[in-house]
Amino acid sequence: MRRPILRRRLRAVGLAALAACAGCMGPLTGTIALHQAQDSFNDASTVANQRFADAFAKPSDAVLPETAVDKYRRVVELVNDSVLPKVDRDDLKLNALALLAFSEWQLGVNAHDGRATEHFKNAINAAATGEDRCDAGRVATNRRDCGMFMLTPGLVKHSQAFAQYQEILNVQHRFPTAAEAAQITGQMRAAVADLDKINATFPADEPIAQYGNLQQLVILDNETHVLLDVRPTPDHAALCTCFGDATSLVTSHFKVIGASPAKLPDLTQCAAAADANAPSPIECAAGRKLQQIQQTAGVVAPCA
Amino acid sequence: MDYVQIVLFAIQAAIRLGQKILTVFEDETRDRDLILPMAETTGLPPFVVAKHFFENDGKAFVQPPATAGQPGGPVSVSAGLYFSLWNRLPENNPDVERELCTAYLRISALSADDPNAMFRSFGGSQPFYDHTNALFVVKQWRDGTDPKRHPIQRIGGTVVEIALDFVKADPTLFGGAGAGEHITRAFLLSLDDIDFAETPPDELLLDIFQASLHVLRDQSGALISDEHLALLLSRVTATLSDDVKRAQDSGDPDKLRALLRFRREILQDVIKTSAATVADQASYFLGTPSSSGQQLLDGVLKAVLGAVQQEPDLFSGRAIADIYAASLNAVGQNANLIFPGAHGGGREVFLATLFSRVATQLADGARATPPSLFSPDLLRDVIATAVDVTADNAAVLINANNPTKQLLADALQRILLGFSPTLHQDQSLPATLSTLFSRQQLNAIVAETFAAVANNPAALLQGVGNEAQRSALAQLIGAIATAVSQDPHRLLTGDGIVQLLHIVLAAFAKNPDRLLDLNTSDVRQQILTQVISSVLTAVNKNLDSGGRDLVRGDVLLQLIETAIAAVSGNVDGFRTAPDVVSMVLDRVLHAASNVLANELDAAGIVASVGPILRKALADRTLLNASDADLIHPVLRDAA
Repeated sequence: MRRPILRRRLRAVGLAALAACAGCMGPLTGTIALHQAQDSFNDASTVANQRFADAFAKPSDAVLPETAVDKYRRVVELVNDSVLPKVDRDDLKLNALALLAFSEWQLGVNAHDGRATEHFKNAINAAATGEDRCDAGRVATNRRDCGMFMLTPGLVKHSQAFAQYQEILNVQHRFPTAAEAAQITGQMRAAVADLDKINATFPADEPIAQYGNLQQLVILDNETHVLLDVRPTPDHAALCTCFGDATSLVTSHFKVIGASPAKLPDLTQCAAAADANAPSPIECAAGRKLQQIQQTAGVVAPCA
Repeated sequence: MDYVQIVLFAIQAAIRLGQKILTVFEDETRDRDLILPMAETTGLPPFVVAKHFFENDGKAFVQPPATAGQPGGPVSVSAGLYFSLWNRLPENNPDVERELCTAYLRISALSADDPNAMFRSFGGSQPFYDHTNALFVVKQWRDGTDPKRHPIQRIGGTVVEIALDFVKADPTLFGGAGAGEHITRAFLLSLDDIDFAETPPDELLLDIFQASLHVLRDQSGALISDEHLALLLSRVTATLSDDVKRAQDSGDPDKLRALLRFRREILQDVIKTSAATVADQASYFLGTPSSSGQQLLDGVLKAVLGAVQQEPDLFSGRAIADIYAASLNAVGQNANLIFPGAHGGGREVFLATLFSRVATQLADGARATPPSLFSPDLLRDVIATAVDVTADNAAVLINANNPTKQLLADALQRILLGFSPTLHQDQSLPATLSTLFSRQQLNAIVAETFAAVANNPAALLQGVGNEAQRSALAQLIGAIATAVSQDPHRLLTGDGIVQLLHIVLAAFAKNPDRLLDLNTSDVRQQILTQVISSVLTAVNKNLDSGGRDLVRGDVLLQLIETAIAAVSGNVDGFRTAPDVVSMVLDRVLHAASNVLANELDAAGIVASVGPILRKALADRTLLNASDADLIHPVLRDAA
């Protein structure tokens, strides 16, 4: 008589265990989708960044290959369809939103179908949603993701200005007028200011802060390009401001490479990547960028 | 455990493990490295840079082919390569400039790899996106700030926790009568609260287990029940690991070293002492398994650990083990020693402050020049005395509103001061006194003083303006030190001086405001100093002049006690004639060696000095009488 009772009990327990496991399946599939989205995002970003790494690249290489754009699209799909509706945890949602914001930004940068504005808007919206959840940097986890939300508006702003500059050069085949340059560089300045918010929340050696500061430096470099393209005479004072800002940006946020207004950054350690005390790759990149900016500054008339 | 329970347990374990694996996977996914894209850039240098190059070092590239370079020279192959493009510059066309910038970039890249290239001096235009993949990998956390444990530990830790739950649920596991099983089960049960999956890996648990086994090996019978031993080990583990974590967070390697040494050298003693002490009153020391917050045992251990980290050189080896044992015993007598902190400190704040203050004072004394009589070697005994006295007098010695107030530490400070050259302005004093005292006698001085302070702390410690130098205790000790330093024949031994301290403290208790004047810090002006010195000087002078050697040891102490009592009864008389004590002593001792040698032995001297001194203090002219007239009546009265 005891065996059927025992069997019934075990069956009940087994069903309970199955039910408990079944409850895990939704979040698990959501997390697996997030994993896939991260893979796509990293693949796309690798290709996107490699465009700028090759000195022998043709100017046409500046356009992101369609495969990379597809991967950013895949990220957006995965996050919207398979991650956000399924994962329970807020920290995973924040991570997904960060991927979404940056992927939409990149889709906006590489949009050839007139949908750039829509993608940029999506990027801003995703970042705003994420930033609200981050509660102004007070969440314990997702430090990088919360930093990405803070950076998105500035990066989008710069992309819009840069697109305008490239349109003048590559589509209209002319140089910007002084008024156009002022408008574009003004927007770039605003982008640099937006990105600077990261420094109020994170310490200088936080990876996402270093990334943000490197973006500021890149934008300042782009600003010098725009200013130098004004013919016949560039705005010398504005150029000097750019050079000075770039130098102080590097000296205040990338201390390891030892740059100062009077001294070039020391990049000798950058070759020794295995050395634990060597500056980080982002610091080395910042130092190298500053060298290039200072080289440009050496060619134009000296600043007061 | 029956079959059904085992199956149920297995299902619960599987669910628990599955949930942990999911959590770990989610955490690791959240924190995966991301490669972030860069803001757009042309990837080219500004045209002014390229132009500067082609107008200077790279001139050959844009000159007409016929005039460019030297035959066979390094640039001859490329000479005039960009001549036609250069000639299109007046078109003011961005496409032309971009082509020239690209050309410049390529030439720079080639020359950077060629050691013989003539353009090396104009390098630096290499792309800054080297090693692309590594460059823009952005981690979720700054280095060293990721709070997560390694996934293997997190999952493995959960397996360990499940195994421990199984041990807890099945009393037959390690439930035999053998000593090893007893300690193993207790140890395993003590691990119940530990989060193996999420706490940093530490060898502490292994240390605890080894120490427990050693204790058991030394003591054949089990000391306390499994449950209480488990609770004890759990409390010791939690307290130690908490301190180790704090030390790690503080970034102070000395603290960590001190704790590791404690674990290596003392842990076994701590467990042994704890097991023996708490056996009879386990709930009193350990609370119940469900009780949260610090318990008495935790408090004592925490206080000791604090001391170990603060003064690792002083609190080490046997000393700290003995201090722990003494403190635990004292807390066993009176739980108020583990006092709820009123100022943000833990419950151990009273004990911890006591340890720290005593250690600091002894260490400061050792560093002084010349060093104090009371060396840091006495730390263990001084603290043991202090906790013992405090346990008996907690209401007086522990300030409920301010547990950091340490009356016995203040007392120690005044003892040290009383024997210090600072108070006496005599650098040779410690050397003179050091020959007199054994370690045991120094401890006896401390114990005698602490007991007196417990009776009347305010009178002995406060003094004028709360200055240590003008406190009664410092002046009393100073009086003894001064007098003893004027005892060339060493008539008082170390033990005698301890007894003298007892006499002086008792006399002071009877007449505190008359025997000392705390408006001065000059010990020599104190009446007590003058009385003791007068007696010692007179006795030493008697020996110097060939008098009979009758007054030593107990007799001398009785004589001093008698003199103090007489003066205490007529302080005004003494102030009027401060030399009266010397005169009386001189007369009696002289008589004992001469005209009254037959009548005066040591007892007779003691018996006659008191009455004569009292009369002389009232009327000094009494001393004008002859020795016989002065002493005979007193001897008759005494008989």
